[in-house]
Amino acid sequence: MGRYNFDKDKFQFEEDKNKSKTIITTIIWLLISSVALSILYYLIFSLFFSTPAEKKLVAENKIIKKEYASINSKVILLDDAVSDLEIRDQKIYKEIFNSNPPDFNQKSIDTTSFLGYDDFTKKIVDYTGHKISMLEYEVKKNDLIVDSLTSFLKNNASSLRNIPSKVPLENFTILQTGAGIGKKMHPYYKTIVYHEGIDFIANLGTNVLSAADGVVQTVYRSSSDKGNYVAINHGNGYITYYYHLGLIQVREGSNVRGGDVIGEVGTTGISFAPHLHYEVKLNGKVVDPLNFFFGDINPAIFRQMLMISMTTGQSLD
Amino acid sequence: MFLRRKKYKFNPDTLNFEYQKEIFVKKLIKGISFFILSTIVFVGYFFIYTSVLGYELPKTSLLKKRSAVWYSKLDVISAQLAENQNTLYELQLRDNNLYRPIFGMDEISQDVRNAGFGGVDRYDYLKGLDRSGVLTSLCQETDILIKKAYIQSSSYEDVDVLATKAEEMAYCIPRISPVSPRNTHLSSGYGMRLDPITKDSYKMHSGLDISGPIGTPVYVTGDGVITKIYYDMFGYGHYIVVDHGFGYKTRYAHLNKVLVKEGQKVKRGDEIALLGNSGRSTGSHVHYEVIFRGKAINPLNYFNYKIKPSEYAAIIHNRKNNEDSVNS
Repeated sequence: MGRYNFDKDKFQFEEDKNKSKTIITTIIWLLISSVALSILYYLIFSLFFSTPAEKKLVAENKIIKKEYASINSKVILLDDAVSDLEIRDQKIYKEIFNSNPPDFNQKSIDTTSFLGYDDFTKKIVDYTGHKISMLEYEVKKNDLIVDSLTSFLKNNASSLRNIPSKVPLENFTILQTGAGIGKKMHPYYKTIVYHEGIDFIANLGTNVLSAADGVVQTVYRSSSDKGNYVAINHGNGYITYYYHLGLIQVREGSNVRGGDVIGEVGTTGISFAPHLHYEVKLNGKVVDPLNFFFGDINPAIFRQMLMISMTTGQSLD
Repeated sequence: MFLRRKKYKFNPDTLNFEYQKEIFVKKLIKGISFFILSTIVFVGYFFIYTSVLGYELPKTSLLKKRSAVWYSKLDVISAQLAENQNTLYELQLRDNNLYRPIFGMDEISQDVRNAGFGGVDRYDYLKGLDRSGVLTSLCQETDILIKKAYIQSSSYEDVDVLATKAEEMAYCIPRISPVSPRNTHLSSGYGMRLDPITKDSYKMHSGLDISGPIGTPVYVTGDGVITKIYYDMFGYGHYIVVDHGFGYKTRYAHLNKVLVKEGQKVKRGDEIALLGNSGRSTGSHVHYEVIFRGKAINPLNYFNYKIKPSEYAAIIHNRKNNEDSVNS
């Protein structure tokens, strides 16, 4: 049964058609008004109440805000303290080695440096392309070297055993590397003297190891100059020397294997501090001991050792 | 204004159009039912929005955005901390593996370096509030790093004192020969020997004799102070005693001429006298003694006589140059 309206002009009742114009418009209206109402309800609801998840978020944001201030001030303090420590480290290092400490925190190529360009994607692609072609060239070159080495070693396998390839110090870490071969300042004379070996800094009593298989050629005990030292003949012209030792645990003529303990680090002779001065001679000529360590250390560590040994300005004699 | 039209209803019994009056109670019931209905609809929408469509409530996402801002700030701090940690780690390694062995100090163990951070949970107040645990770990890390930096700093204080002292010691300890190896030679070593003049008994020779022509410059072998200049006709002749500190003294005897005064400060390589033949001596030479804590010890343990004359000259020259640069 429909509703009726009184039409004053026509003076008669007419069926009210507003409500039943179309079902679709009604539904749309219903939908819109109900959604609007729901949003209103939600707004009121959210003003006064929070869901458990929201409560947690609010609490967390609040505690982070509070703690952030304190952490931030602490980190600023820490930044200061650490940079101060770095300066003191440099000072101490300089006092001992007459050079700046090595810096291994060098950043690789910084991609943000490309961002300044308008065509930075192109720059990156160019750079990467260039790098790849360089690497390809290097790989080819290294392939050739490896091939020639392999063929050489096939014929001379036994000669490898004579090479003093072991780092002659127990529990060695790269930072223990001191001055390498070359012109270094003498710790006492303060003049530049040619340093014929490499220094390894270690605690008194640290075990000194033989760098390869061989026969102990010399055991010499002395309080002057090079101090107590051992020389080991590895054959094929290789002789290694271990200077400033404390205790010596081998005798002349005894056979040693690579890695055997031959003595302990000391500071005998003219030595600034406990250290091992290690020398390698090939056919009577002094050679850089670092170049033989490939059997014991990986290329990255080798590079770091090389860097330290070269940049260290003062030997411990 | 739009006036609400009156509603009429056709009554089949009276065959009349009747004006419909709305009673208050009816209105109330209508309102309540409308409210209930709309709430049900709201809950329905809510359910569809959150569970079926899987959207987040606007308030939640707003809060999450704020939280994300905080987390990105924490990220920055975390990166800063990581950098500091790396630096500290490197310094620690250098301290343990380099400085401490050099000065014969014990290594600071990791236990000590990390001390005070086990046991009691001092970050309890953050529990439950910190959803991801990032804040707690940051707080902890910061505190640990500050502690480590403090330990490192006190360690460096110790090392620095020794390093400065060692550097000073390197200059003070008598580490060179008193005369150049050019035109000189070792004529008598340290130890028991037949008396060179009476030749009748073995006596302790407490120093080293280096022979050379009269007038050869005698250099002081380490930094120090001239404490004694004396002439002893039947013994050392003209001689000088230098105090180097750190328990070391040196004596230079049988000199021809003394070029310094008592109390004068000298540096290694300074020319203090000329070689001679004064006192109880059988030829021109310098008698050189190293005295450590009152006892004469073998000087040869303290220097290398076999270095090249050019190297020796460089040492003397180097000291002179340093002197000049200080003066100018």
